Amino acid sequence: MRQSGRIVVALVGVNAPGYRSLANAYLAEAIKADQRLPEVWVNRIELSTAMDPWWIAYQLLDVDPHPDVFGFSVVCWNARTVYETVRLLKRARPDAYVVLGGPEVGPVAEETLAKHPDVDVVVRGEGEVALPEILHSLARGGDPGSVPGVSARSGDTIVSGPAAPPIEHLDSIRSPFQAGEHATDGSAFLETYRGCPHRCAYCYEGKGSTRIRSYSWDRIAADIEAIASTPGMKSFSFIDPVFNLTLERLERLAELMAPWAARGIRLHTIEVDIERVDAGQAALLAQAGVVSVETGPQSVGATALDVCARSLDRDRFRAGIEACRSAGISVECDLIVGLPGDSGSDVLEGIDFVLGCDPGKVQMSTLHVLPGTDLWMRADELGLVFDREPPHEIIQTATMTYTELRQLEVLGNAACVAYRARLPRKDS
Amino acid sequence: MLAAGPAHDALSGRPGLFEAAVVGVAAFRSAAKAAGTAVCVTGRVPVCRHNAAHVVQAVSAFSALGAVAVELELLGTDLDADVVKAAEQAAVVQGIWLHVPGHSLFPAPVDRVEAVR
Repeated sequence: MRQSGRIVVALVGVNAPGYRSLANAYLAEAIKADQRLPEVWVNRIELSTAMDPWWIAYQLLDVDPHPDVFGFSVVCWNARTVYETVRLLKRARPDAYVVLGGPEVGPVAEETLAKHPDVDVVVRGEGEVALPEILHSLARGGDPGSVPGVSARSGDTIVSGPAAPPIEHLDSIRSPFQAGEHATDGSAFLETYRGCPHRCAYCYEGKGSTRIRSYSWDRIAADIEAIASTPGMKSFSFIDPVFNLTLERLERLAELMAPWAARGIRLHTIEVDIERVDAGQAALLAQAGVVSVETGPQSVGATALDVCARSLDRDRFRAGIEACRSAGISVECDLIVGLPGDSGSDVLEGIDFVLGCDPGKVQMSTLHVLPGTDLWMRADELGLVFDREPPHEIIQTATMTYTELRQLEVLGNAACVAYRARLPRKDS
Repeated sequence: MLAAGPAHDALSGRPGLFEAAVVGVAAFRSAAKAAGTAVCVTGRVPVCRHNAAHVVQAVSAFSALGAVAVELELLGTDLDADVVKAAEQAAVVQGIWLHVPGHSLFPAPVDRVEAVR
Protein backbone atom coordinates (compact mmCIF):
# COMPACT_ATOMS: atom_id res chain seq x y z
CA MET A 1 0.00 0.00 0.00
CA ARG A 2 2.04 2.89 1.28
CA GLN A 3 5.05 1.32 -0.45
CA SER A 4 3.18 1.37 -3.74
CA GLY A 5 2.21 4.98 -3.23
CA ARG A 6 -1.47 4.15 -3.14
CA ILE A 7 -3.55 4.51 0.01
CA VAL A 8 -6.96 2.94 0.36
CA VAL A 9 -9.07 4.74 2.95
CA ALA A 10 -12.37 3.49 4.37
CA LEU A 11 -14.46 6.16 6.07
CA VAL A 12 -16.86 4.27 8.26
CA GLY A 13 -20.14 5.73 9.46
CA VAL A 14 -21.80 3.83 12.29
CA ASN A 15 -25.07 5.71 12.14
CA ALA A 16 -28.52 5.68 13.61
CA PRO A 17 -30.58 3.40 11.37
CA GLY A 18 -31.57 5.16 8.14
CA TYR A 19 -28.91 7.88 8.34
CA ARG A 20 -25.57 8.53 6.62
CA SER A 21 -22.59 10.25 8.19
CA LEU A 22 -22.34 13.90 7.16
CA ALA A 23 -18.87 14.08 8.71
CA ASN A 24 -17.61 11.34 6.40
CA ALA A 25 -19.09 13.12 3.39
CA TYR A 26 -17.05 16.21 4.25
CA LEU A 27 -13.92 14.15 4.96
CA ALA A 28 -14.16 12.25 1.68
CA GLU A 29 -14.32 15.49 -0.27
CA ALA A 30 -11.42 16.95 1.71
CA ILE A 31 -9.24 13.96 0.86
CA LYS A 32 -10.20 14.05 -2.80
CA ALA A 33 -9.45 17.77 -2.97
CA ASP A 34 -5.93 17.50 -1.53
CA GLN A 35 -3.58 17.62 -4.50
CA ARG A 36 -0.52 16.75 -2.43
CA LEU A 37 -1.69 13.25 -1.70
CA PRO A 38 -0.61 10.32 -3.85
CA GLU A 39 -3.26 8.10 -5.34
CA VAL A 40 -5.94 7.75 -2.65
CA TRP A 41 -9.00 5.59 -2.94
CA VAL A 42 -11.74 6.70 -0.61
CA ASN A 43 -14.49 4.28 0.24
CA ARG A 44 -17.44 5.53 2.32
CA ILE A 45 -19.05 2.67 4.20
CA GLU A 46 -22.33 3.54 5.88
CA LEU A 47 -23.42 1.07 8.56
CA SER A 48 -25.80 1.13 11.49
CA THR A 49 -25.63 0.91 15.27
CA ALA A 50 -28.32 -1.74 14.92
CA MET A 51 -25.62 -4.07 13.58
CA ASP A 52 -23.48 -6.34 15.70
CA PRO A 53 -19.80 -5.23 15.76
CA TRP A 54 -18.77 -8.66 14.47
CA TRP A 55 -20.78 -8.09 11.31
CA ILE A 56 -19.59 -4.52 10.99
CA ALA A 57 -16.04 -5.88 11.16
CA TYR A 58 -16.99 -8.51 8.58
CA GLN A 59 -18.15 -5.87 6.13
CA LEU A 60 -15.03 -3.78 6.67
CA LEU A 61 -12.68 -6.74 6.28
CA ASP A 62 -14.48 -7.90 3.16
CA VAL A 63 -13.80 -4.67 1.29
CA ASP A 64 -11.70 -5.13 -1.83
CA PRO A 65 -9.08 -3.74 -2.10
CA HIS A 66 -8.31 -3.95 1.60
CA PRO A 67 -8.31 -0.49 3.19
CA ASP A 68 -5.01 0.65 4.62
CA VAL A 69 -6.68 3.23 6.81
CA PHE A 70 -10.01 3.01 8.61
CA GLY A 71 -11.55 6.27 9.80
CA PHE A 72 -14.46 6.37 12.24
CA SER A 73 -16.53 9.35 13.34
CA VAL A 74 -17.33 8.73 17.00
CA VAL A 75 -20.20 10.14 19.03
CA CYS A 76 -21.43 9.04 22.45
CA TRP A 77 -24.15 6.76 21.12
CA ASN A 78 -21.99 4.79 18.66
CA ALA A 79 -18.75 4.74 20.67
CA ARG A 80 -19.14 1.31 22.25
CA THR A 81 -19.91 -0.23 18.87
CA VAL A 82 -16.95 1.54 17.27
CA TYR A 83 -14.51 0.46 19.99
CA GLU A 84 -15.60 -3.16 19.77
CA THR A 85 -15.42 -3.06 15.98
CA VAL A 86 -11.92 -1.59 16.08
CA ARG A 87 -10.81 -4.27 18.54
CA LEU A 88 -11.97 -7.04 16.20
CA LEU A 89 -10.63 -5.25 13.14
CA LYS A 90 -7.15 -4.95 14.56
CA ARG A 91 -7.07 -8.60 15.62
CA ALA A 92 -7.77 -9.62 12.04
CA ARG A 93 -5.75 -6.87 10.35
CA PRO A 94 -2.95 -5.72 12.71
CA ASP A 95 -1.42 -3.70 9.88
CA ALA A 96 -4.54 -1.56 9.39
CA TYR A 97 -4.29 2.04 10.58
CA VAL A 98 -7.23 3.23 12.68
CA VAL A 99 -8.12 6.92 12.90
CA LEU A 100 -10.88 8.18 15.17
CA GLY A 101 -12.44 11.63 15.25
CA GLY A 102 -15.58 13.29 16.49
CA PRO A 103 -16.91 14.84 19.71
CA GLU A 104 -16.68 11.65 21.76
CA VAL A 105 -12.91 11.30 21.32
CA GLY A 106 -11.56 14.69 20.24
CA PRO A 107 -11.73 16.36 23.68
CA VAL A 108 -10.15 13.30 25.36
CA ALA A 109 -7.75 12.21 22.64
CA GLU A 110 -4.85 11.04 24.78
CA GLU A 111 -7.13 9.24 27.24
CA THR A 112 -8.82 7.49 24.32
CA LEU A 113 -5.49 6.31 22.92
CA ALA A 114 -4.38 5.14 26.35
CA LYS A 115 -7.57 3.20 26.91
CA HIS A 116 -7.95 1.70 23.44
CA PRO A 117 -4.61 0.26 22.29
CA ASP A 118 -6.02 -0.65 18.87
CA VAL A 119 -6.56 2.99 17.97
CA ASP A 120 -3.60 4.61 16.21
CA VAL A 121 -4.66 8.24 15.86
CA VAL A 122 -7.30 10.56 17.31
CA VAL A 123 -8.20 13.83 15.60
CA ARG A 124 -8.85 16.48 18.23
CA GLY A 125 -10.89 18.95 16.18
CA GLU A 126 -12.16 19.45 12.65
CA GLY A 127 -11.07 16.62 10.40
CA GLU A 128 -11.11 18.26 6.97
CA VAL A 129 -7.55 19.52 7.39
CA ALA A 130 -6.22 16.98 9.87
CA LEU A 131 -7.16 13.78 8.03
CA PRO A 132 -5.47 14.69 4.73
CA GLU A 133 -2.43 15.74 6.77
CA ILE A 134 -2.40 12.34 8.49
CA LEU A 135 -2.59 10.57 5.13
CA HIS A 136 0.12 12.83 3.77
CA SER A 137 2.31 11.97 6.74
CA LEU A 138 1.68 8.23 6.31
CA ALA A 139 2.42 8.42 2.59
CA ARG A 140 5.80 9.95 3.37
CA GLY A 141 6.46 7.40 6.09
CA GLY A 142 6.27 10.15 8.69
CA ASP A 143 4.82 10.36 12.16
CA PRO A 144 1.21 11.60 12.29
CA GLY A 145 1.75 12.54 15.93
CA SER A 146 3.34 15.78 14.81
CA VAL A 147 0.30 16.83 12.76
CA PRO A 148 -1.51 19.84 14.28
CA GLY A 149 -4.77 18.85 15.96
CA VAL A 150 -3.81 15.19 16.18
CA SER A 151 -2.74 12.80 18.94
CA ALA A 152 -1.12 9.55 17.91
CA ARG A 153 0.49 6.40 19.18
CA SER A 154 4.22 6.35 18.60
CA GLY A 155 5.69 3.09 19.81
CA ASP A 156 4.83 2.83 23.48
CA THR A 157 4.11 6.51 23.91
CA ILE A 158 1.35 8.86 22.94
CA VAL A 159 2.32 12.09 21.27
CA SER A 160 0.20 15.12 20.49
CA GLY A 161 0.80 17.68 17.79
CA PRO A 162 0.08 21.34 18.49
CA ALA A 163 -3.50 22.55 18.65
CA ALA A 164 -5.00 23.23 15.24
CA PRO A 165 -6.88 26.49 14.75
CA PRO A 166 -10.48 26.23 13.53
CA ILE A 167 -10.83 26.33 9.74
CA GLU A 168 -11.07 30.06 9.12
CA HIS A 169 -12.74 30.12 5.71
CA LEU A 170 -15.35 27.39 5.55
CA ASP A 171 -15.76 27.85 1.81
CA SER A 172 -12.29 26.28 1.50
CA ILE A 173 -13.94 22.97 2.45
CA ARG A 174 -15.24 21.27 -0.65
CA SER A 175 -19.01 20.83 -0.60
CA PRO A 176 -20.21 17.24 -0.31
CA PHE A 177 -23.67 18.41 -1.31
CA GLN A 178 -22.54 19.77 -4.65
CA ALA A 179 -20.62 16.53 -5.19
CA GLY A 180 -23.87 14.64 -4.68
CA GLU A 181 -22.60 13.08 -1.47
CA HIS A 182 -25.60 13.75 0.72
CA ALA A 183 -28.30 11.57 2.18
CA THR A 184 -31.69 10.87 0.76
CA ASP A 185 -35.10 12.39 1.39
CA GLY A 186 -35.80 13.28 5.00
CA SER A 187 -32.38 12.35 6.33
CA ALA A 188 -30.24 14.95 4.54
CA PHE A 189 -28.76 17.67 6.74
CA LEU A 190 -27.09 20.90 5.69
CA GLU A 191 -24.88 23.24 7.72
CA THR A 192 -24.57 26.95 6.99
CA TYR A 193 -22.18 27.76 9.81
CA ARG A 194 -20.07 26.18 12.53
CA GLY A 195 -19.98 27.17 16.17
CA CYS A 196 -22.75 28.18 18.54
CA PRO A 197 -23.62 31.51 20.15
CA HIS A 198 -24.52 29.73 23.37
CA ARG A 199 -22.31 27.93 25.89
CA CYS A 200 -24.75 25.47 27.41
CA ALA A 201 -22.78 23.48 29.97
CA TYR A 202 -24.00 20.07 28.75
CA CYS A 203 -23.31 20.68 25.04
CA TYR A 204 -20.12 20.44 22.97
CA GLU A 205 -21.47 22.21 19.88
CA GLY A 206 -19.52 25.43 20.47
CA LYS A 207 -16.38 23.59 21.60
CA GLY A 208 -15.78 26.12 24.33
CA SER A 209 -16.22 29.17 22.13
CA THR A 210 -19.15 31.32 21.05
CA ARG A 211 -17.47 32.26 17.78
CA ILE A 212 -19.50 31.69 14.63
CA ARG A 213 -17.89 30.83 11.31
CA SER A 214 -20.22 30.99 8.35
CA TYR A 215 -20.12 29.75 4.80
CA SER A 216 -20.60 32.50 2.19
CA TRP A 217 -24.10 33.12 0.93
CA ASP A 218 -23.08 31.96 -2.54
CA ARG A 219 -21.92 28.66 -1.05
CA ILE A 220 -25.08 28.31 1.07
CA ALA A 221 -27.30 29.01 -1.95
CA ALA A 222 -25.43 26.45 -4.04
CA ASP A 223 -25.62 23.83 -1.28
CA ILE A 224 -29.36 24.40 -0.83
CA GLU A 225 -29.87 24.04 -4.56
CA ALA A 226 -27.79 20.87 -4.66
CA ILE A 227 -29.92 19.22 -1.99
CA ALA A 228 -33.32 20.65 -2.87
CA SER A 229 -33.02 19.81 -6.57
CA THR A 230 -32.20 16.16 -5.91
CA PRO A 231 -34.86 14.02 -7.59
CA GLY A 232 -37.28 12.65 -5.00
CA MET A 233 -36.21 15.10 -2.30
CA LYS A 234 -39.23 16.34 -0.39
CA SER A 235 -37.76 17.36 2.93
CA PHE A 236 -34.43 17.90 4.60
CA SER A 237 -33.06 19.72 7.62
CA PHE A 238 -30.35 22.09 8.79
CA ILE A 239 -27.98 21.15 11.59
CA ASP A 240 -27.28 24.77 12.49
CA PRO A 241 -27.57 25.05 16.31
CA VAL A 242 -29.73 28.18 15.96
CA PHE A 243 -31.50 28.63 12.62
CA ASN A 244 -32.74 32.12 13.59
CA LEU A 245 -29.25 33.18 14.66
CA THR A 246 -29.99 36.76 13.54
CA LEU A 247 -33.02 38.28 11.87
CA GLU A 248 -30.94 39.19 8.83
CA ARG A 249 -29.71 35.63 8.49
CA LEU A 250 -33.21 34.21 8.86
CA GLU A 251 -34.48 36.62 6.20
CA ARG A 252 -31.73 35.53 3.83
CA LEU A 253 -32.33 31.84 4.43
CA ALA A 254 -36.09 32.33 3.94
CA GLU A 255 -35.37 34.13 0.68
CA LEU A 256 -33.10 31.32 -0.53
CA MET A 257 -35.50 28.58 0.51
CA ALA A 258 -38.73 30.23 -0.66
CA PRO A 259 -38.54 29.06 -4.30
CA TRP A 260 -37.95 25.50 -3.13
CA ALA A 261 -40.71 25.74 -0.53
CA ALA A 262 -43.05 26.87 -3.28
CA ARG A 263 -42.19 23.62 -5.10
CA GLY A 264 -43.10 21.59 -2.03
CA ILE A 265 -39.72 21.16 -0.33
CA ARG A 266 -40.16 21.18 3.45
CA LEU A 267 -37.70 21.69 6.30
CA HIS A 268 -38.13 19.65 9.44
CA THR A 269 -36.71 19.69 12.98
CA ILE A 270 -35.03 23.07 12.64
CA GLU A 271 -33.41 24.20 15.89
CA VAL A 272 -34.48 27.70 16.88
CA ASP A 273 -34.21 30.12 19.75
CA ILE A 274 -37.96 30.08 20.38
CA GLU A 275 -37.97 33.16 22.58
CA ARG A 276 -36.95 35.29 19.60
CA VAL A 277 -39.68 33.95 17.34
CA ASP A 278 -42.47 36.47 16.90
CA ALA A 279 -45.11 36.62 14.17
CA GLY A 280 -42.58 38.06 11.75
CA GLN A 281 -39.97 35.37 12.35
CA ALA A 282 -42.64 32.66 12.25
CA ALA A 283 -43.74 33.97 8.86
CA LEU A 284 -40.13 33.80 7.64
CA LEU A 285 -39.81 30.23 8.90
CA ALA A 286 -43.01 29.31 7.06
CA GLN A 287 -41.71 31.06 3.94
CA ALA A 288 -38.60 28.86 4.15
CA GLY A 289 -40.81 25.78 4.18
CA VAL A 290 -40.24 24.97 7.85
CA VAL A 291 -42.87 22.58 9.20
CA SER A 292 -41.33 21.73 12.55
CA VAL A 293 -38.83 23.32 14.89
CA GLU A 294 -37.03 22.04 17.96
CA THR A 295 -36.15 24.01 21.04
CA GLY A 296 -35.59 23.85 24.82
CA PRO A 297 -36.20 24.74 27.54
CA GLN A 298 -34.26 21.66 28.85
CA SER A 299 -35.15 22.79 32.39
CA VAL A 300 -37.21 25.40 34.18
CA GLY A 301 -35.22 25.13 37.40
CA ALA A 302 -33.47 28.38 38.25
CA THR A 303 -30.35 26.67 39.60
CA ALA A 304 -29.97 24.30 36.65
CA LEU A 305 -30.47 27.11 34.16
CA ASP A 306 -27.84 29.18 35.95
CA VAL A 307 -25.29 26.34 36.19
CA CYS A 308 -25.88 25.42 32.54
CA ALA A 309 -25.51 29.05 31.37
CA ARG A 310 -29.03 29.11 29.97
CA SER A 311 -31.93 31.48 30.45
CA LEU A 312 -35.67 31.11 30.22
CA ASP A 313 -38.33 33.79 29.87
CA ARG A 314 -41.53 31.78 30.18
CA ASP A 315 -43.76 34.43 28.63
CA ARG A 316 -41.54 34.82 25.59
CA PHE A 317 -41.16 31.05 25.32
CA ARG A 318 -44.95 30.59 25.26
CA ALA A 319 -45.32 33.47 22.80
CA GLY A 320 -42.75 31.89 20.48
CA ILE A 321 -44.63 28.60 20.46
CA GLU A 322 -47.90 30.40 19.84
CA ALA A 323 -46.36 32.32 16.94
CA CYS A 324 -45.10 29.09 15.38
CA ARG A 325 -48.46 27.39 15.84
CA SER A 326 -50.23 30.33 14.22
CA ALA A 327 -47.90 29.92 11.24
CA GLY A 328 -48.65 26.19 11.03
CA ILE A 329 -45.30 25.13 12.46
CA SER A 330 -45.09 22.31 14.99
CA VAL A 331 -42.75 22.78 17.94
CA GLU A 332 -40.83 20.06 19.74
CA CYS A 333 -39.86 21.01 23.30
CA ASP A 334 -36.93 19.21 24.87
CA LEU A 335 -36.36 18.57 28.56
CA ILE A 336 -33.32 16.99 30.16
CA VAL A 337 -33.57 14.87 33.32
CA GLY A 338 -30.56 15.03 35.59
CA LEU A 339 -29.20 18.54 35.16
CA PRO A 340 -27.19 19.77 38.14
CA GLY A 341 -29.30 21.71 40.62
CA ASP A 342 -32.61 20.31 39.40
CA SER A 343 -34.79 18.51 41.93
CA GLY A 344 -37.58 16.11 41.10
CA SER A 345 -40.01 18.99 41.59
CA ASP A 346 -38.12 21.08 39.04
CA VAL A 347 -38.37 18.29 36.48
CA LEU A 348 -42.10 17.94 37.14
CA GLU A 349 -42.57 21.68 36.87
CA GLY A 350 -40.73 21.53 33.55
CA ILE A 351 -43.09 18.83 32.29
CA ASP A 352 -46.10 20.88 33.40
CA PHE A 353 -44.69 24.01 31.78
CA VAL A 354 -44.05 22.51 28.36
CA LEU A 355 -47.31 20.56 28.33
CA GLY A 356 -49.08 23.79 29.23
CA CYS A 357 -47.51 25.43 26.20
CA ASP A 358 -49.06 22.66 24.04
CA PRO A 359 -46.18 22.77 21.55
CA GLY A 360 -47.03 19.72 19.44
CA LYS A 361 -44.34 17.37 20.70
CA VAL A 362 -42.45 16.96 23.95
CA GLN A 363 -39.29 14.94 24.34
CA MET A 364 -37.50 14.10 27.56
CA SER A 365 -33.98 12.74 27.58
CA THR A 366 -31.52 11.79 30.27
CA LEU A 367 -28.44 13.93 30.77
CA HIS A 368 -25.32 12.62 29.08
CA VAL A 369 -22.19 14.18 30.54
CA LEU A 370 -20.22 14.53 27.33
CA PRO A 371 -16.43 14.86 26.99
CA GLY A 372 -15.25 18.42 26.58
CA THR A 373 -18.35 20.02 28.07
CA ASP A 374 -18.39 22.22 31.13
CA LEU A 375 -20.33 19.54 33.00
CA TRP A 376 -17.65 16.95 32.16
CA MET A 377 -14.96 19.22 33.55
CA ARG A 378 -16.97 20.37 36.59
CA ALA A 379 -18.63 17.06 37.42
CA ASP A 380 -16.94 16.61 40.80
CA GLU A 381 -17.54 20.19 41.83
CA LEU A 382 -21.22 19.91 40.87
CA GLY A 383 -21.71 16.52 42.49
CA LEU A 384 -22.51 14.78 39.20
CA VAL A 385 -21.95 11.04 39.20
CA PHE A 386 -22.03 9.69 35.67
CA ASP A 387 -20.94 6.68 33.68
CA ARG A 388 -17.42 7.29 32.38
CA GLU A 389 -18.17 4.79 29.65
CA PRO A 390 -20.16 6.05 26.63
CA PRO A 391 -22.88 7.17 26.32
CA HIS A 392 -22.04 8.78 29.70
CA GLU A 393 -25.49 8.78 31.25
CA ILE A 394 -26.03 10.50 34.56
CA ILE A 395 -26.15 8.08 37.49
CA GLN A 396 -27.07 10.49 40.26
CA THR A 397 -26.72 14.15 41.12
CA ALA A 398 -26.31 16.13 44.31
CA THR A 399 -30.06 16.75 44.30
CA MET A 400 -31.49 13.55 42.80
CA THR A 401 -30.80 9.95 43.68
CA TYR A 402 -30.32 7.14 41.16
CA THR A 403 -33.83 5.83 41.81
CA GLU A 404 -35.45 9.27 41.54
CA LEU A 405 -33.79 9.82 38.17
CA ARG A 406 -34.98 6.47 36.84
CA GLN A 407 -38.51 7.12 38.15
CA LEU A 408 -38.58 10.52 36.49
CA GLU A 409 -37.38 9.02 33.21
CA VAL A 410 -40.29 6.58 33.30
CA LEU A 411 -42.80 9.24 34.34
CA GLY A 412 -41.49 11.62 31.68
CA ASN A 413 -41.75 9.00 28.96
CA ALA A 414 -45.32 8.21 30.00
CA ALA A 415 -46.23 11.90 29.93
CA CYS A 416 -44.66 12.36 26.47
CA VAL A 417 -46.48 9.33 25.06
CA ALA A 418 -49.77 10.45 26.61
CA TYR A 419 -49.29 13.94 25.18
CA ARG A 420 -48.44 12.60 21.72
CA ALA A 421 -51.71 10.63 21.77
CA ARG A 422 -53.84 13.58 22.89
CA LEU A 423 -56.65 14.95 20.83
CA PRO A 424 -55.43 18.07 19.02
CA ARG A 425 -56.67 21.49 20.00
CA LYS A 426 -59.62 22.72 17.98
CA ASP A 427 -57.56 25.63 16.62
CA SER A 428 -54.60 23.49 15.53
CA MET B 1 -57.55 -5.57 35.01
CA LEU B 2 -57.84 -7.39 38.32
CA ALA B 3 -54.89 -9.71 37.88
CA ALA B 4 -52.97 -11.52 35.15
CA GLY B 5 -54.02 -14.64 33.27
CA PRO B 6 -56.33 -17.19 34.91
CA ALA B 7 -56.40 -15.19 38.15
CA HIS B 8 -58.12 -12.35 36.32
CA ASP B 9 -60.70 -14.76 34.90
CA ALA B 10 -61.28 -16.31 38.32
CA LEU B 11 -61.67 -12.97 40.10
CA SER B 12 -63.99 -11.60 37.42
CA GLY B 13 -65.93 -14.84 37.18
CA ARG B 14 -65.68 -14.76 33.39
CA PRO B 15 -63.47 -17.41 31.78
CA GLY B 16 -61.45 -16.11 28.83
CA LEU B 17 -61.79 -12.45 29.85
CA PHE B 18 -58.03 -11.90 30.27
CA GLU B 19 -57.23 -13.31 26.85
CA ALA B 20 -60.00 -11.19 25.35
CA ALA B 21 -58.45 -8.08 26.90
CA VAL B 22 -55.03 -8.99 25.51
CA VAL B 23 -56.46 -9.53 22.04
CA GLY B 24 -58.46 -6.31 22.28
CA VAL B 25 -55.50 -4.12 23.24
CA ALA B 26 -53.35 -5.70 20.52
CA ALA B 27 -56.05 -5.06 17.95
CA PHE B 28 -56.40 -1.48 19.14
CA ARG B 29 -52.68 -0.85 18.84
CA SER B 30 -52.53 -2.56 15.47
CA ALA B 31 -55.41 -0.49 14.11
CA ALA B 32 -53.83 2.70 15.42
CA LYS B 33 -50.51 1.83 13.79
CA ALA B 34 -52.21 1.09 10.49
CA ALA B 35 -54.00 4.43 10.67
CA GLY B 36 -50.85 6.30 11.65
CA THR B 37 -52.51 7.45 14.85
CA ALA B 38 -50.50 7.86 18.04
CA VAL B 39 -52.16 6.11 20.95
CA CYS B 40 -51.33 5.73 24.59
CA VAL B 41 -52.26 2.60 26.51
CA THR B 42 -52.67 3.04 30.23
CA GLY B 43 -54.03 0.56 32.73
CA ARG B 44 -56.24 0.63 35.76
CA VAL B 45 -56.22 -2.04 38.43
CA PRO B 46 -59.17 -1.94 40.87
CA VAL B 47 -57.68 -3.25 44.10
CA CYS B 48 -59.55 -4.93 46.90
CA ARG B 49 -58.49 -7.51 49.46
CA HIS B 50 -59.21 -10.32 47.00
CA ASN B 51 -56.62 -9.29 44.42
CA ALA B 52 -54.07 -7.34 46.50
CA ALA B 53 -51.62 -10.22 46.10
CA HIS B 54 -51.94 -10.06 42.30
CA VAL B 55 -51.05 -6.41 41.76
CA VAL B 56 -47.45 -6.98 40.64
CA GLN B 57 -48.54 -9.59 38.08
CA ALA B 58 -51.21 -7.21 36.77
CA VAL B 59 -48.62 -4.46 36.30
CA SER B 60 -46.40 -6.87 34.38
CA ALA B 61 -49.35 -7.90 32.22
CA PHE B 62 -49.94 -4.26 31.33
CA SER B 63 -46.25 -3.91 30.51
CA ALA B 64 -46.54 -6.79 28.06
CA LEU B 65 -49.45 -4.95 26.46
CA GLY B 66 -47.31 -1.85 25.90
CA ALA B 67 -48.87 0.32 28.59
CA VAL B 68 -46.85 3.35 29.75
CA ALA B 69 -48.71 3.94 33.01
CA VAL B 70 -50.91 2.03 35.42
CA GLU B 71 -53.12 3.35 38.18
CA LEU B 72 -54.12 1.30 41.18
CA GLU B 73 -57.69 2.13 42.14
CA LEU B 74 -58.02 1.39 45.83
CA LEU B 75 -61.52 0.09 46.55
CA GLY B 76 -62.16 0.71 50.20
CA THR B 77 -58.87 -0.73 51.24
CA ASP B 78 -55.37 0.52 51.69
CA LEU B 79 -52.51 -1.46 50.35
CA ASP B 80 -49.69 -2.71 52.46
CA ALA B 81 -46.63 -0.50 51.92
CA ASP B 82 -44.58 -3.54 50.90
CA VAL B 83 -47.07 -4.37 48.15
CA VAL B 84 -46.99 -0.80 46.85
CA LYS B 85 -43.20 -0.84 46.90
CA ALA B 86 -43.03 -4.13 45.05
CA ALA B 87 -45.52 -2.91 42.45
CA GLU B 88 -43.63 0.37 41.99
CA GLN B 89 -40.35 -1.45 41.51
CA ALA B 90 -41.87 -3.89 39.05
CA ALA B 91 -43.38 -0.99 37.13
CA VAL B 92 -40.29 1.21 36.91
CA VAL B 93 -37.96 -1.58 35.80
CA GLN B 94 -40.46 -2.41 33.06
CA GLY B 95 -40.70 1.23 31.99
CA ILE B 96 -44.19 1.81 33.40
CA TRP B 97 -45.23 4.65 35.66
CA LEU B 98 -47.34 3.37 38.56
CA HIS B 99 -49.72 5.78 40.21
CA VAL B 100 -51.18 4.87 43.57
CA PRO B 101 -53.49 7.51 45.07
CA GLY B 102 -52.22 8.49 48.48
CA HIS B 103 -48.87 6.84 47.88
CA SER B 104 -47.40 8.33 44.71
CA LEU B 105 -45.14 11.30 44.84
CA PHE B 106 -46.36 12.48 41.44
CA PRO B 107 -49.79 12.60 39.77
CA ALA B 108 -50.48 10.10 37.01
CA PRO B 109 -49.01 11.21 33.65
CA VAL B 110 -52.32 11.19 31.84
CA ASP B 111 -53.88 13.33 34.56
CA ARG B 112 -50.88 15.61 34.29
CA VAL B 113 -51.40 16.04 30.55
CA GLU B 114 -55.08 16.78 31.10
CA ALA B 115 -54.49 19.08 34.05
CA VAL B 116 -52.28 21.47 32.15
CA ARG B 117 -54.52 21.75 29.11
